[in-house]
Amino acid sequence: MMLIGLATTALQAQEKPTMVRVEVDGLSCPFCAYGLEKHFTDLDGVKDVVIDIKKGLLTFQVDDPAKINEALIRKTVKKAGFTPRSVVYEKEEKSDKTKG
Amino acid sequence: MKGNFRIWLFPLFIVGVAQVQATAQGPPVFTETPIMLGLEGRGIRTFGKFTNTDNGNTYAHIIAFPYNINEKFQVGAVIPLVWKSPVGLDSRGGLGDLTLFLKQQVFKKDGRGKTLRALLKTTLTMPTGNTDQAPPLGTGAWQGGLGLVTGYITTALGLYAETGYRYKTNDLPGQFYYNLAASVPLLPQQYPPHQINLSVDLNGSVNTRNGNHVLLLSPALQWITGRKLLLESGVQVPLRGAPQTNFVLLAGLRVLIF
Repeated sequence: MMLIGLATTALQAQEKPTMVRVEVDGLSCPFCAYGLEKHFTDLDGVKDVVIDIKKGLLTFQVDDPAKINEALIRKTVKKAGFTPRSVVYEKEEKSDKTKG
Repeated sequence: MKGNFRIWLFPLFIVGVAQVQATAQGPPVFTETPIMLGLEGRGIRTFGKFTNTDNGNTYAHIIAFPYNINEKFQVGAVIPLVWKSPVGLDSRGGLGDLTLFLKQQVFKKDGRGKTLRALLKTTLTMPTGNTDQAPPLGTGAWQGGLGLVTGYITTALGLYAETGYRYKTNDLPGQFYYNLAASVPLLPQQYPPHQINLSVDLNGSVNTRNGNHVLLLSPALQWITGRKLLLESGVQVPLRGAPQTNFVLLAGLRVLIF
């Protein structure tokens, strides 16, 4: 019973999506933002893409941070025509992985 | 007529500049943009251009298809359909001179909410417009163009500059051209976008044979209805070098398709 409980807790922790915050330079027009948004919504495993033009911030959720890794995120931002700055993976318990 | 336009346009310009806010804005209407993203690289631009002169009227309907090869290269085609109604002659309409273009981004410096970019634009215009009857629907000449397009675009203001040269065959005079534009948003920022932009352009060209210098003042408004659609309208009034041209009206849209 205890094992089942632990396994369920572990599974729930695993399934909890990770929020990713990406600072993007060059976001200065709304149509550009749409191109960035589309590049990320097209990535399998990325959901809830939100863009804040004023803050130059792209946020989204991923189920598997290993699959949507920092290298892929930076490559996708560049492919969309922008310059990536920091990429932050943010768990709810604040065990962040930050790279500049 | 021309004087009235200028009186009407000046306060519009002042209102627009006075309302600069920290918001993103769209591309200028009569000047090229160095941005090859969004609507500028993944959509269609189409507009109607009505030119009123002392010698008659011309309506050109333009359809432009840009296609991004990658983030640094773009190719595209501009298809003009032209109707001419000259004074004292029958009206004619049909395909005008088709243009193909290649854009190459040569400089990019991004910052938070701002970007400074430059691109080279090469154009090739083919004499596809029929010139057998009057009025001609094209120039009857091949045209090659090379230009430099730059822009400093922030979330509050867009400044654009374009200059280049157009060469024409059939012993037609070449043309140096330059365009300057400023674009500002009039509504608070939100994304998905819903805003109104004001842009004011100066569009100039110099005939290399006789030195005639044409300069047009071109204010315009854009309504960005969402992620995928932009409606735009503008007017051009000659400031010098085009005594027979009264005004040019433009209305059109840009829509994302990819």
